[in-house]
Amino acid sequence: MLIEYRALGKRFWKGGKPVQAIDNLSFSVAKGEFVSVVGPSGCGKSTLLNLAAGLMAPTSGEVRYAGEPVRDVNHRVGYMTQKDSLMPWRTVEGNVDLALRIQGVARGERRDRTRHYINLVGLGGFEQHYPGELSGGMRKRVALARLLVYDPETLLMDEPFGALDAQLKMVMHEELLAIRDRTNKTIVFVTHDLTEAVTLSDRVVVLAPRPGRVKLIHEVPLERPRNVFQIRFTPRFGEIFETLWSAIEQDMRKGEEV
Amino acid sequence: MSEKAGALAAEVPSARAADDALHDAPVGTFWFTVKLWLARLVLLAVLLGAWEWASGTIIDPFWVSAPSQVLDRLREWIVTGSLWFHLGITLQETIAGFVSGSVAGMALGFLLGRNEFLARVLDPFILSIYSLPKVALAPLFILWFGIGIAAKIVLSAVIVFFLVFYNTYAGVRDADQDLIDVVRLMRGKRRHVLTIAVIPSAMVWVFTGLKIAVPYALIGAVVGEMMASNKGLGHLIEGSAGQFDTAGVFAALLVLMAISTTLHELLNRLERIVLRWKLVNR
Ligand SMILES: Nc1ncnc2c1ncn2[C@@H]1O[C@H](COP(=O)(O)OP(=O)(O)OP(=O)(O)O)[C@@H](O)[C@H]1O
Ligand SMILES: [Mg+2]
Repeated sequence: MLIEYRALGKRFWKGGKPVQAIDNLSFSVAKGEFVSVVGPSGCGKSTLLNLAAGLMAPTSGEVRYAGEPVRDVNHRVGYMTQKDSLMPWRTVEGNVDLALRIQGVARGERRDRTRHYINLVGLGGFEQHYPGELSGGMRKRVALARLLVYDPETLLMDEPFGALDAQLKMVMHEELLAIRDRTNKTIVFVTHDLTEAVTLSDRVVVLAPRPGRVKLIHEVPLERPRNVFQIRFTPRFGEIFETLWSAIEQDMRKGEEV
Repeated sequence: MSEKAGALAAEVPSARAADDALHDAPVGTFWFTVKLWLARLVLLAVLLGAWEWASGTIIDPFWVSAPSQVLDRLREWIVTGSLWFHLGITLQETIAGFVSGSVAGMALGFLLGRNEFLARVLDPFILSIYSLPKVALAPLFILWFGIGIAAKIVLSAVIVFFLVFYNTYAGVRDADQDLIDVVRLMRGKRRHVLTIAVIPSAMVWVFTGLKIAVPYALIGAVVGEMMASNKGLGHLIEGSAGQFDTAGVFAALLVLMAISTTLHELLNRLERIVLRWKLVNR
């Protein structure tokens, strides 16, 4: 197992009061696996990714990566956060080539790789624009290019396509799956969109509302490579979607009332 | 204007659309600019006219002089060359004080901003010197450095230092942790965190501090000159007042005003280059 959450608990303090975000949560992600995490707002999905990235420490239990407890920033994962977290003072190109600059990649190669991924996310022509000049969906795509360009071993993605329209979303799904099939990357993918989760994943983890616990883990035994445009119309897809939907439906309602 | 460009770029997914928006924006603002400057000129003319008229009719020119007399005095100083001499001295002191104070302020601001423990240790010391009215240090500096320009540079630098230091420090503390994490996850070292995330983010605050500090750099130089000196604009004011030459006092004040606004404008231009990215945001 590459990523292991073991009896994980995470408590935050808000205005002097404890908030139990995650309680006694366990599941694992195997190397090369694509796992989606779904669940109502506030159930600790982003917190799970923050813990795997080593940006915060668990209150109880532990997070392991490649057999070792995660104690500090986890350099082996690339993390696309829920907020796009672009540097507003760097252009699109300057944001995407960040990791390559840090690695000291030579200028010519850096430029080629950067341009390749900017084009891949459909932002060719915007290289010299600042994030402040872009729409929310465009900024998300810059963050995606910035993540993919340095080829991290594992991708943590927090609602990466939430701000995109339906067509663009499917184009991005296709690109992401192509990259996955080519590189066999491990991907942990947080989303609100069940169709997206089933289309992309090997397994879907459904979390219960706060405090976050595993409510259901469901396999998605659809064969790869997948056609992201057609797979949703297959009967197998419909069955899996139904099962997940019934698990999540009640909680979603509850989540909305709060 | 920039807001328009930003919004358009967001809606129309084409790089050209954003450029076009930038190009037609100044057309709308051109007449506004003309009107603005006309209004300012009219106001200036009215004020100067009223001053010229009042002087000699309702107030004794001995107290308030008059624009024409001030101009005469300036012309005289330019012809004899004394204006350039005194101006040069004050400018030297101001710029040297401003630059050294700013550099030191930024350096300590970045250092303490990234080192919380050291910041806490030094906090009471810095605060107690900061709360001192700095001009009260002038006699001490004159004692130490003599009546030459060194004492004025030091006084000016000390005043500037605190303004720039506190702004830089606040800017560093304000840096977005999420952006810092982005760099750290990419295996960024301390220096990467600093150059990629912290320094650019703090620059907005640094420039605020620098701009506030410009007139204070002048205060340091001029106060020093008024206390003990035989040159500089402060000395010119002091000397003119001593001879009951109000026109001379006003002329020197006018020159000070010109220095201060020029330096401020220079900083504005530099800011527009360094913080170019801000122009497109909102
Ligand atoms: N840094 C923090 N300080 C205090 N509370 C926090 C912090 N981060 C998260 N929380 C709390 O922990 C809970 C889980 O937050 P988290 O962001 O992980 O939810 P989420 O599942 O990602 O929600 P969403 O779907 O809305 O993004 C929430 O109640 C949130 O208020
Ligand atoms: Mg979240």
